[in-house]
Amino acid sequence: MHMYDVGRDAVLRRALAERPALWAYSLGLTRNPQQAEDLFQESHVVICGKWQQLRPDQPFLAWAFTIIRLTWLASLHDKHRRMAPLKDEVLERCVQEAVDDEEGPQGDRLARLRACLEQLTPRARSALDLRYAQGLDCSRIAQRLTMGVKALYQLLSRSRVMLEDCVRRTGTT
Amino acid sequence: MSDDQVLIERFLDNALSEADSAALQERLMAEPDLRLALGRALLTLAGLREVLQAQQRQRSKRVRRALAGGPAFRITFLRVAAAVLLVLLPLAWWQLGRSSPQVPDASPELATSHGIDGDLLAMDEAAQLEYLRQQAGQQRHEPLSATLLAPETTGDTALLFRHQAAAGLVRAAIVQGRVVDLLLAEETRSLALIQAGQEPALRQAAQTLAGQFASERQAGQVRLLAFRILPRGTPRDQALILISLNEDLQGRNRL
Repeated sequence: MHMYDVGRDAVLRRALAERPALWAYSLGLTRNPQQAEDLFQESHVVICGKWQQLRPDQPFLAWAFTIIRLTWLASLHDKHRRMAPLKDEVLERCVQEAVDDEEGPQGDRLARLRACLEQLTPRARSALDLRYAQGLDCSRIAQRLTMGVKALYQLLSRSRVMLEDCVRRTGTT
Repeated sequence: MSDDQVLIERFLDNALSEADSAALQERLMAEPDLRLALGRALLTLAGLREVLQAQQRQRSKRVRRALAGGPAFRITFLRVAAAVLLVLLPLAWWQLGRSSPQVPDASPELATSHGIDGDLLAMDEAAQLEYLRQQAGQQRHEPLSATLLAPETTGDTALLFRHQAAAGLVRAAIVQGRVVDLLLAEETRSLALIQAGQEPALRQAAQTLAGQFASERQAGQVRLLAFRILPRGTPRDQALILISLNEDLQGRNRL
């Protein structure tokens, strides 16, 4: 295999392995799953195109976060959206520190999350699925689940906190 | 829920005022625990997206395999169908033997246009029952076209085909008592949902109708309800109603 391909493949593999952190950062910037998905994908196109700009001594996540941030800023400029409420570097620290805090490979965490998801009620699972897999907005989900928007927020929040606790608990046992 | 969790929720819901955002930023810079909490919340959502999307892909694959007739799924379907038949059929036949209200607004012409024998609507309950018994075993539902039902096939024409396939399956199941067809219709439902997800109001209306049906708590009413609703509305309405009807039936059978 040519050296070019080796370097490019390594960067793309790294991007693949770090996709939860990259998506988390995208979501932090946009605070909207649909927009986060768009930003995540657009940024990946840039990462694929500019892989050679990643220096060997440069941390991958910091480099990728910069690309995501610049892509986001470009889209803000295009569409006149309002800025994110947090400074980019604050958000970057939040995600980076949470990534550093995690134990074990990402695959283990996802397996634990999958198991913990099974412990939620079917209604909570549906709400999470509609919000974070299908990207529907809360008013539509509330309508579909025949519940109030406020109750839906509480359901989503409780479910997420429970999942976080469960994933951490099962990770330490 | 702690105050910090509320703050994080409001951040994630994009519901922070400028002042709240500034305050959150100050605190995040000073408090590592809060940074960690927000980072973890974001990572959990990212993980959820991965897991839920993988499950969604798995479901789509399962539907396609079931429609293509994978042996393992056929066996599962047959097992479930056998269990459902044991519960549902006695109820259905018992209900068919009872007198039931006339269907006021499903004209034979409309029913025929949807593939239901219009003459059947004009018969009294006993005659309907006899007719259905004669038909049992003689009708075969049309095979589903994997291409037309594939999720990649989009647009109103595809939805219409899906609706027709679902209607055909429900009809066949009603007439022949082939509950296994209803289970297949449930898989058709999953595909139809791809389109139906765009129409929450219609779906709500369909659920209301299905709720009325559920309150009757008689499996034999499936037939009458189908006669009432199939001739009404657009193909999309009908597909949604069928979806809810099937959901309700599936739900009851699991009880």
